[in-house]
Amino acid sequence: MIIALALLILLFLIGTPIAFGLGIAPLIALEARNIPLLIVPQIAFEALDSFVLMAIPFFILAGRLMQAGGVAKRLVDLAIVLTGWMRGGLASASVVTSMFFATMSGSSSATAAAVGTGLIPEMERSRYPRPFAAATIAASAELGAIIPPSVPMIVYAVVAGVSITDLFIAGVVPGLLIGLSLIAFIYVIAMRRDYGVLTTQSVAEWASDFRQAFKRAALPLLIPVIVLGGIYGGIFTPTEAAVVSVFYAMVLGIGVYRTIGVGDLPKILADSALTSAIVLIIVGFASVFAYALSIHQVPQTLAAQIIAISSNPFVFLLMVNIVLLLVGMFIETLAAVIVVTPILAPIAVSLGIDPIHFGIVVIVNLAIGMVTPPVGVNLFIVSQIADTPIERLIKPLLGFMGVLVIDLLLISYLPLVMGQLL
Amino acid sequence: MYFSVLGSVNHCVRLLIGLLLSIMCILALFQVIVRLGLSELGITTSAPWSEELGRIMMIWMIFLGVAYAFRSGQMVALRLLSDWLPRRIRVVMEGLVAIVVVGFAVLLIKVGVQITEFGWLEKSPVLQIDKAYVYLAMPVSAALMAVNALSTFIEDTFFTRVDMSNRLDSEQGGVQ
Repeated sequence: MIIALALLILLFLIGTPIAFGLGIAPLIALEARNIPLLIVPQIAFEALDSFVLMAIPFFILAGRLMQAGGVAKRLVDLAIVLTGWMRGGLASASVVTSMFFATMSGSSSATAAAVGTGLIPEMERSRYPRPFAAATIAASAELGAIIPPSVPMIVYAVVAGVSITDLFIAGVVPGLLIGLSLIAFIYVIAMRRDYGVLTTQSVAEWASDFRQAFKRAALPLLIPVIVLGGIYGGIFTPTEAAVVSVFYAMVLGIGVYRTIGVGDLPKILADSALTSAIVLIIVGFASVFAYALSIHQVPQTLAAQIIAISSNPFVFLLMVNIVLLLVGMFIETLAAVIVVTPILAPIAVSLGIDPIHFGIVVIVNLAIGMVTPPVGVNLFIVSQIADTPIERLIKPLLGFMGVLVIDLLLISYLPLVMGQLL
Repeated sequence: MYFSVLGSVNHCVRLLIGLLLSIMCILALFQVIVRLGLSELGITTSAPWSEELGRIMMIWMIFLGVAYAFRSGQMVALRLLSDWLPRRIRVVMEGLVAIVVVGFAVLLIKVGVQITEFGWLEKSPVLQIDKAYVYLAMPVSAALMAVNALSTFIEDTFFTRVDMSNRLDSEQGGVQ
């Protein structure tokens, strides 16, 4: 199995597509146990033949429809009114927009693209340095994976066998915590470095701006009410809620706002199908890799070793955080969820950590990995949008990373501490 | 000539996966309406066939989409080293990746044909469709993957194609 791991790293380094690396590396491990390779398609089909996973293409499509339909712009306008009056208001507005958009789309790269396209140029016009503007978007877009709905959460729930609904609900408070702490950080930085332009407005003017912006964003803001309310109230399964939001976004874009023509649909559909395929094939082949790990009893062996180091849940979570931050820096999120969950979740449960809470810890860790170089989807996207090399984003990112790590520690430990106090 | 034929095949695949996704949406919406609408009338029911058909279409969408992504260069891969290395070493690495990808695609064709043969003896639970029609997605797409990966490598290496963006008719893939 160690040879298989070495092969996986080698395959990644030469630039093999991640899904294929995950499919090829375990072949040696299967061969070593004389398992016929027919197991490869069997596992891949079994993993992908799932109605739950169908929520992923639907959420991706809904996100694209809302982006094409100009929903992002309406949310940006509302967020600017909400936070524009304070120091660092425009940068804070990008955090707030990310939080709004995260309740409608399941992924952080979609959030980065939707929010960054409009806000980075606007922030630059208001005296924010461009690298700082780009770093703000990259950091706040990770909320796309933490605030429900969330594609990585769906995959975690499937692999760990926990309820998606519970996981979604458990993501709300950490999402708010991260959002508010980013806003607080931006406030301090903007004050110290004199970023942004302060607008002077009377309360009455503000109230009328707010009413107008809220009216324009009211219909999109109903989406999280329908989706999350529907799932929470037991009316829809996550997949059904996802498809309902697809049709709602379509009605908004084509019927109400008339920003999407029927002729645009084939392109939007094909792009969404393609993105979904690229994501889901990773789920398929990562499952083959996870299967090979389990055949070689890697989860059990690792579990025994980890518990030998310490069976204290606090120490365990600290180790998990360090390992996952490193994993998240290099490995694609969904692949990491599928490979890591069957190894770590059973240990967490045996140490008395709630599997839902553990899922949130895993997701928040890997979401930070989306913002860190060398492999961070959000970074790639904002560096493209802002036309700024990634190297120049790293310095303004460091502060944001500090805030995110503090949030991570709070999210990891507060529930444990409170559990012991009660 | 060869590349333009391949281009049209891939264009059709692109339209097809979009079509599959739209049908999946309609099936899932139909299921919601049936379940919620009929329970209003006091009938508790569901349409399991729509769910099963949707899952079959998703599998075809995934495999065909991946085959297409090998032509549009959208498969998610690490580009840690390739940006720093001199062009000649990069070509060697790209060649290696092409060999690895084509080799794995050939293996997928082989095991895909095997599982398809078993699939003639197995029926889907609700619709009673031969599972072979589901499993067929793997060998068919793997064949297109092999052709796409090989053609793209040959085209990139031996033909000067200045503008990569022509092939990328949508933005970068990847969702996280």
